[in-house]
Amino acid sequence: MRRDSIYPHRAIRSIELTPERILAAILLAVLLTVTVYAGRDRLFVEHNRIAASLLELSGIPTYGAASVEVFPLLGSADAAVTDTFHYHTSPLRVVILLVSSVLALLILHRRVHLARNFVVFLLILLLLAAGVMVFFQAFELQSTEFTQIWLREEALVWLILPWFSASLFILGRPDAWVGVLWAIGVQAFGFVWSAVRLAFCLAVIHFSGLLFVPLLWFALGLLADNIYLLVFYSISTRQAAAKTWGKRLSWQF
Amino acid sequence: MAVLIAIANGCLILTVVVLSAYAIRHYWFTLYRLTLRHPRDFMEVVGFVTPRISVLVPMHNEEKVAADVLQALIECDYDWNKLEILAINDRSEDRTGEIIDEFAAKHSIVKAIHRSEGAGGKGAALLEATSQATGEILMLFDADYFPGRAMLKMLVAPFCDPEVGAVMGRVIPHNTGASVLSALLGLERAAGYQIGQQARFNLGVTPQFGGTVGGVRASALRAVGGWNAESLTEDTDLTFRLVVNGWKVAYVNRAECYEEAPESWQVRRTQIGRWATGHTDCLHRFWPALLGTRHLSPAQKIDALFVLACYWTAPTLVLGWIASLFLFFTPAAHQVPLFAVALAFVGYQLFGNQATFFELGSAALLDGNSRRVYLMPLNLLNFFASTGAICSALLRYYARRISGSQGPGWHKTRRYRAKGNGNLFRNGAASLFIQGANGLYTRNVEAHQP
Repeated sequence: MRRDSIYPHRAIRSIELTPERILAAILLAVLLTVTVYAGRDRLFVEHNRIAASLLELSGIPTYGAASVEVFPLLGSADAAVTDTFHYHTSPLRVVILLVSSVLALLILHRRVHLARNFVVFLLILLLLAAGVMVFFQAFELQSTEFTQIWLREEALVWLILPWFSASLFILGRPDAWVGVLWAIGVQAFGFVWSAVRLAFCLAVIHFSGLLFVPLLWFALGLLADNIYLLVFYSISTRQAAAKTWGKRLSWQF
Repeated sequence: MAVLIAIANGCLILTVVVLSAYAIRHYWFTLYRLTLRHPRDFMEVVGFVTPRISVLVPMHNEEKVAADVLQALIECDYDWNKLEILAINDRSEDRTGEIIDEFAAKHSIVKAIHRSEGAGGKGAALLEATSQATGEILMLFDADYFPGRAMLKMLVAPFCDPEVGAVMGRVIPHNTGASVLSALLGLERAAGYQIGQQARFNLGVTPQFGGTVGGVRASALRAVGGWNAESLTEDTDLTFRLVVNGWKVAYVNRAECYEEAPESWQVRRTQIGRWATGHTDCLHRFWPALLGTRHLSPAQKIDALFVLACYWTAPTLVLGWIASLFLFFTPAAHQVPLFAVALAFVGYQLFGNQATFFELGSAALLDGNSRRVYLMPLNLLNFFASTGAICSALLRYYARRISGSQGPGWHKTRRYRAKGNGNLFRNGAASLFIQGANGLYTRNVEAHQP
C-alpha cells in the first residue's frame, strides 16, 4: 500500500535511459572512433602543422619534420624538429630557471593550502629532472622523441575519447541530441588543444631542455586532458541540471 | 636495471588493477543510480506504528551549535509522547552544559546527561547515553547538524522492516559558500550520498551507517555488543558488526540533514586522517568475519571489502606515481611494444580518473545543483590534498601497529558557526534549510548562509 503522496523532493528521481539512447551513444562512439582511426594520417599531419605554426609564430626555428612511429597499428607521423637546450651549453641558465621556479612553487605552496600536495609533487618532478640533467648528462630528449611520446598518448586519447564522451554527455544528460553536439565538440577541441600543448612543451624544451619535461609531461599530458574534459563536463552538467529543474516535482506521486 | 624496471612495471600494474576495480564500481553505481526508476522508499509505507525513539546528541565544547540542534529537534513533527532527546555534555569546558540545562528546564522531552569522568570521545558518550535511553530506536545527530521537521519520521520509517538494524540519512553541508574547500566538499558529499549510498542501498549491498544522521535499533545494538568506545569511527565499526550478524542497513536519501563542512584545509586534513585510520582499523578487524559470515552474499562481501579498503587506494596511487616517475627516466620503458597495453593504460587514466567526477556530476545533475558544479575541476586539488593526508595518516597508523603503541585520541572537528542561540531557525535562510529537509526547494540556500 502506498501513500497518496509523499514529501516532494528537490532531486529528480532518475534519468530516463532508453534503449534508443544507449544505441545512439554506442553508434556515435563507434562512428567517431572509426573516423579518427581512418583519418589518422590526416590528423597527424594537421596536428604537426598546428604545432609547427605555433612554434614559428613564437620565434622558435623549426627544421622541417622527421617521421616518427606512433604505433605499428597507427603508422607514422610527422614531428617538427627544433633545437633542444643542453645543460652544458649554459649551466647558469638552468640554475636561474630552477631557483626561480622553485621559489614560485614555494610561494604557491605557502599561499594556497589546498594546492600544497600538488605543488609538492611538481617540486619533486622539477628537482628530479634537475638531478638527471646535472648527474646523468648523457640522458637527452630530442624534440622528435618528445613528440613521439606525446603522440603515443594523445592518439590513444583521441580514439578513446568518443566512448568517454558517449557516457558523460549522452547517457548522463536528459537531452541526448545536445549530448551528441558536446561529444563532437569535445573531440575537436581535444585535437586542437593537444597540438597547442605540444607546441608549448617543445618551446619550453627549446629554452630549458629536460628541466621542465617531467613537470610538463605530468601537468600538460593526461592531466590536462582530464581537466578540459572536467571543465566541459561541469558546463554540460550545469546546463542539464537547469533543464531538468522543472521536472523535479513529478516523481512525488 | 632490468629488475628495477620489472618491479616498477609490477607496481604500475598493481595500481592500474586496484584503481580500475574502484573506477568500474563508481561507474556501475552511477549508471545504476542515474537510471533508477523506483528507488525503495520506506516513506511510502503506511500503517506503520511509529516506535518510541531516543535522540542522542553527544556534545563536547559545542556552545556555538548546541542550541540550534536542540531547537531543531524540538521542532520536529514526531509525537512527543514517543520522543526523548538525550543531550550529552561530554566534559565540555564552555557553555554547552549550561545551554543543555536551559533546554531541559524548558522542554520535558530534553534530558541532560553530564559526563565529567570516564573515557572521552563520541563512542564513550554514546555508550553512557544508551544505557539511559528508553526508546526502541536510537537516533544519532552530531551537534553541528540541522535536522528538518520531518527528519525523525523519515529516519524511523525503514524500521518497519524488522530486519533493518540501522538507518542512515543524507548529509548536506550548509556552509558551501564559506570557502572553496567547503564547496568542493559539498560536491563530494553529494556524490557519496546521492549516488554511492543510494546505489548501494538499491543494489542490495550495504550502505554505510554514519553516526551523524542515523538511527539504530536498540535491540540490534545490544545484540552486537553495543558501541565500541575504542574505535575512531564507531559508526563504521557498528555497520560491519551489524551486517556480519545478519542485520540490514537502510539508507533514506530524502532524509536530508545539514552539517558544517570543514572550511580550512587543516581541519579537513585532521578529519580525513581520522576517517582513514578508523576505517582501515575496521578493515583489519572485520575482514575475516566479513568473508566468513553466512548472512552476506558474495557481492555484498566484495562490496563491503571495497568500502573498508577504500583508503588504501591513496598509497596505491602514490606507489603508481613513483613507478611511473622511475619509468619515465628509463628510455626503454617508452618503447611500449603492445598497442593494446598502451590503450588499456591510457584508457584507465581517462576512465579511472573521471569515474569519481562522473559520480560528482551525476549527483549534481540529480540534485539540480547550481553554479557550484563549475568548481568540479578544482576537485583535482582536493584529490591531491586528500591523497597526501590519507597516506600520512595510514603511515602513522601502521607505524603504531608495528610498534604496538596507543592510537591517537579523538579529535573534535572545529565548528565555524558564529553563534548558536536557537534562533537560527527563525530567520529566513534557516527556514529554507528546514523546508529543504522537509522536501521543498533549497536551491537558493547557498546565497543565504547563516
